[in-house]
Amino acid sequence: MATSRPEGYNISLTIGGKTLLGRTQEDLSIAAVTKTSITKDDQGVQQEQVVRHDVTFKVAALLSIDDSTSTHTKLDRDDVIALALATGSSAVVAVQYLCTGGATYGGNAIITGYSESSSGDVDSDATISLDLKITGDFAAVTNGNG
Amino acid sequence: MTESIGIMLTNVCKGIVPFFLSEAQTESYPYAVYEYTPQEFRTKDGIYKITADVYIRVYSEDADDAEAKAAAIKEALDAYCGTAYNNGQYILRLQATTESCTEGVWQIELQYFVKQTA
Repeated sequence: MATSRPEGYNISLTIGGKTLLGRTQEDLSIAAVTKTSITKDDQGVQQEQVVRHDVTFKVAALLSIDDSTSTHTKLDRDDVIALALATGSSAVVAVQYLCTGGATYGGNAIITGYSESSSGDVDSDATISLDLKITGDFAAVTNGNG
Repeated sequence: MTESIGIMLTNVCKGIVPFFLSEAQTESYPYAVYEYTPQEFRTKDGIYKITADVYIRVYSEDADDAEAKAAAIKEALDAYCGTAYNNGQYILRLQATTESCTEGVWQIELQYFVKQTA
């Protein structure tokens, strides 16, 4: 049995089929939402039942502008702001979370937050940060090698 | 992106004074040596920036000659960073200049902060 430990750069989140330009960090969080119950038969011990999961992503990247006139192959800062300002059905984007050697997971997401950070320090990089929340199912769309 | 700060420094300075990495390959003055330790910065798609503190040390048995060579190096580096050829690939900032004399040999050290971005 072989094991592998992919380096961080082998893990990526695509939003509408594209990764963020200048991405430095992509974080996945799966939080169980539970329901607490207790009956007389539980003899005073509360029972926890998982009813769903909150799946969220946080992506950090250098603030990057792609000024090429052709179709962008990656999402630059202005593409991301446009997504963040979308409303209604336009605000729902397809995401896929890929890991070399592992399964690819997919679902639909909405952007719940966008922020930029820039300072006047010499040689400091301006950065962006994007928060996404999965709406509906988040499931494996391809199996891993293992 | 491949680190090329040393190549850039050598290309700019070698016409002014014999210019070597770390150790002089000559026994005659004047000459200059440089040292630097590059630090890479990465996104998930690769290196996007390299920075380095660069120390250029000019040696000469004549104080005026050492100062003239150091001034010429500063001028050449300033000019290079302002050229269209450079195209913003390198940013250099002079941090400090120190001058000393040991056993009749003058040393002028130029300390630069260098950023390579493409």
